Amino acid sequence: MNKPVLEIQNLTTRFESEQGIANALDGVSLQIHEGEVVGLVGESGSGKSMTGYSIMRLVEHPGSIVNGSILYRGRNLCSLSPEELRKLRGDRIAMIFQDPMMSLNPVLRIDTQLSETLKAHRSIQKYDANRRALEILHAMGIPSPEIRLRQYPHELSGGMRQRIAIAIALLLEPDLIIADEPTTALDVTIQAQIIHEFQTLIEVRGTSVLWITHDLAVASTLADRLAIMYSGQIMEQGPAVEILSKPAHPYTQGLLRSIPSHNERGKPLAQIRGSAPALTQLPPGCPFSPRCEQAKSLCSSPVPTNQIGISRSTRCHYPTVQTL
Amino acid sequence: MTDWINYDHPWRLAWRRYRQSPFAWIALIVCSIIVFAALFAPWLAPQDPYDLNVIDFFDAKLPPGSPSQSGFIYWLGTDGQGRDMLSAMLYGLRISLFVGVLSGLVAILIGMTLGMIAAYFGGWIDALIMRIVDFMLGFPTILVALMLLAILGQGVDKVIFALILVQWAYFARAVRSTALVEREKEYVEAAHSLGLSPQRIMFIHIMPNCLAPVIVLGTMQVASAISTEATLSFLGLGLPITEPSLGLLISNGYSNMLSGRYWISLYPGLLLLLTVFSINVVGDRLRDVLNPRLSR
Amino acid sequence: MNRFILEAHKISRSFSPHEDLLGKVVRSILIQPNPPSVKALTDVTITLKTGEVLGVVGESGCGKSTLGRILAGILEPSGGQLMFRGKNLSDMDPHTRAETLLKIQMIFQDPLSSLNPRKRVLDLIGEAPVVHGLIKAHERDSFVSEALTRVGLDKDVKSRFPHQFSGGQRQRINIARALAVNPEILICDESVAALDVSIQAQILNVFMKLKAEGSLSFIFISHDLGVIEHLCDRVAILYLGRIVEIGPVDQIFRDAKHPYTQALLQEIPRIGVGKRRFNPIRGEIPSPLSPPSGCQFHPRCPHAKIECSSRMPGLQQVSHEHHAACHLLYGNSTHLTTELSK
Repeated sequence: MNKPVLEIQNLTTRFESEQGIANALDGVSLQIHEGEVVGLVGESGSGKSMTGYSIMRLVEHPGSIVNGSILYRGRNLCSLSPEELRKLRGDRIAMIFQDPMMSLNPVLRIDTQLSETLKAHRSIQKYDANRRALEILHAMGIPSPEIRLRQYPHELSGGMRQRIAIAIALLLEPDLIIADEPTTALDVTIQAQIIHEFQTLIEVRGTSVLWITHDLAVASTLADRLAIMYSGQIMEQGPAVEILSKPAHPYTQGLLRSIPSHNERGKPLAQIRGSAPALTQLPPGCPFSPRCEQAKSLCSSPVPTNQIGISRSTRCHYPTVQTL
Repeated sequence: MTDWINYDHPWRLAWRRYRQSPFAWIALIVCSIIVFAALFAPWLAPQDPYDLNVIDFFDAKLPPGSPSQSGFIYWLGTDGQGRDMLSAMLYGLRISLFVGVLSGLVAILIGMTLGMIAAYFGGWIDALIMRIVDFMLGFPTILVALMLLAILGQGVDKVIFALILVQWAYFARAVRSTALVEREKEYVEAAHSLGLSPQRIMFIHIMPNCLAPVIVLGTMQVASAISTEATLSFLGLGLPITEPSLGLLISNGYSNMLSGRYWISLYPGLLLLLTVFSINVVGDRLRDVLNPRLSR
Repeated sequence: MNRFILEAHKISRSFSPHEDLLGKVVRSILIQPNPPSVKALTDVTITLKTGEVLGVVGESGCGKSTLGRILAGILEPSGGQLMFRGKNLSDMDPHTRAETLLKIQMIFQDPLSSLNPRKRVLDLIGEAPVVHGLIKAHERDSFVSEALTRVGLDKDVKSRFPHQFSGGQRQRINIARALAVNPEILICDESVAALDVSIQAQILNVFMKLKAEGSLSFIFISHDLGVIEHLCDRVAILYLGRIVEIGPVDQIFRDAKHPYTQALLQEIPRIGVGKRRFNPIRGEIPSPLSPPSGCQFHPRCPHAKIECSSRMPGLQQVSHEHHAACHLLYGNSTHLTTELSK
């Protein structure tokens, strides 16, 4: 197997608030290899977005990374100076947000935004910058890109804005893209178009992607490997096909079973009981244990990450691979 | 970024956030002391400044710290009539606060009702009320108040009336805009669908959710009413000389400034400043903690 | 007894931009035409059978939320008729009408904003039944306890405020509040879309339990075809304010006739297929302000012909209860089958 582009080891990001201390991330370890798409799936509050923010070092007060390392091609992002980070961000590692307006400036024209991004990281002539901008818009399936370039973000539809945001992220041909729910706010047909174009582009360039989503279905159509998060921990990770067909962690099993297409039509759905605990009030040991049907007394003690075979791991005391 | 569940009532949460600013906390304590002093002025003041029997004309214009004929010390000096400045200020504060708070409360009542009516009925009623509001806000406050008092004459009631008239429009505008936002929320549609009457939806469901901006604005407006009243009294159009407010005390001492008897104007002026300032600080902090955009 | 509990006949709704008095005066002086209005719904005819679950599917701007609100009596239609148990709502006196509309309740998308943040659960659920005299004021407490238990909540939460609950619990409160006035129809507008996956199943199960109890009919508005397939008996597909296809769920999911339905079904990401490539339909959803001529789907349709851009196709019966609005369905159906199966 080729070497990882990004290697996260034992990452812990902590928030301190009036309600107490909360580990938004608790010992997260994850690898993303060259040209690989990793789907990071979790519900709200599971820490999936926080993983993205932590990698980009965008965690703001009152949160901070308290433990672990994030190695990008062997360099620890946690120990870089702000200047070095700035050079890396946007150039080698780019981020796409759920709301495209997070990366678009509402008062600047699209062409200005694209060429500013280029000029910030490369010494490039204006003519070349415009040509590159046109190319990338064309590649993102944007019709009549010459006209779009002269427009402002508010003149575009939501889907078009997200395409532009993705184009900006791809403009400098980064090694790694962190995509935080980029298609969640879009309609199904538009989502399909964007995923299609994104897939084509990253395959041609061999870009590695961390695709953060709450939607297992979207992740399963895109990802080579999946990581399932719950309450700040990665519960299970491994090749997507294996996790989806033979989940080992009771949480993954519960999630997959609750999906309507895995249930007989019109019959009650298999459901996970209860709801996710607040991060400040986690139970000892496995955070999923209060909702787990298979929980035993051992589950209230710290859970190690267990290897299953060569490529899979799970954070459960009693991992049992079940075929769905 | 992280979705924590809060287990607190919105007001209690706001209160807890309020206390996080030590400056605002101090301002609130100062405010409380001022209100306390105003409420209990008759018991706190060493002298009753209205009682002509205890006022000794020979004690007039004594500097701070001088002893009186009857033995106690004028800590802040005396004014032109020989009244103890400290006592006069406490009584003045009482009147200033009374005028400010009462006019503010009545203005809130009128403004909220009209604002809710405008938001609720819409159409020409809304247009009519809001044009009156625009008209009222188009004039400088002090000008309207001066004109009114010139017509009505002096008196506490007249000052309060004038202050209500110049203030209600602010509340009407704030309440209307908040109510219009609240009206579009899904809980209002739900109440609609549950067959609740429009009046009930407007006044029992929507109005409590419009209170936050009113409280913030109300605090600020009380401060501005106090200073408006002081201005009016200073100009001689506000309260009668028999009921001296802080503004009137400043005005009385003004003529003595040049002769070096600074204390007659300075101390009431400082008290006025402190009062208005601390109320404004409290209002500012309330705006921060009650702003829905800042709340999680 | 009428087998339809709710019939909507040629419902239309347009929204015109807000104009104040001054604007109207200026416009009439300058003799300008009326400002353009957005047609959110055009001639939508649907029926709901007693005990049935009818799905309504569509993308943003298709008018599905507007339809839900009109059916729930929250919005007035600009045209068309609503019949509840065969009686026309517009013929009713205000009192009967209000009583009838109480029988149709709505569950909204956002479980938090649909609960008044300054009311306790006891008031949220107990207010309407007391106001309408369904229960006495002193019965409120036990009534609310019962309502909470029915939707799977602990009855001790009565004195709590909405923000003290998780998303799933809030949606249960919303359901309990709607059920408190004894409705016969529940209109669920994207009622699980804002919830986490593991919670969605719980709420869907609540709906299914209610359906099994037998006294309710449902209109289930959603963009999630997986949920629709699992829950619904029939489904209507909306595109730009018109029904393009309507029919029994098993028929539509097996043999969709309208190219838009086919595209939707094909492009829904599904689990278990493994990594795969989409073959998406082109183009963006047109703005309802300037809808395309003819069949509104024709600019995106892979099978569009000349007549598609000039003439609007009407709904046509495909088989029993299954209707679709597509020109390719007219004339020889064999030609269509070969065309659409490509």
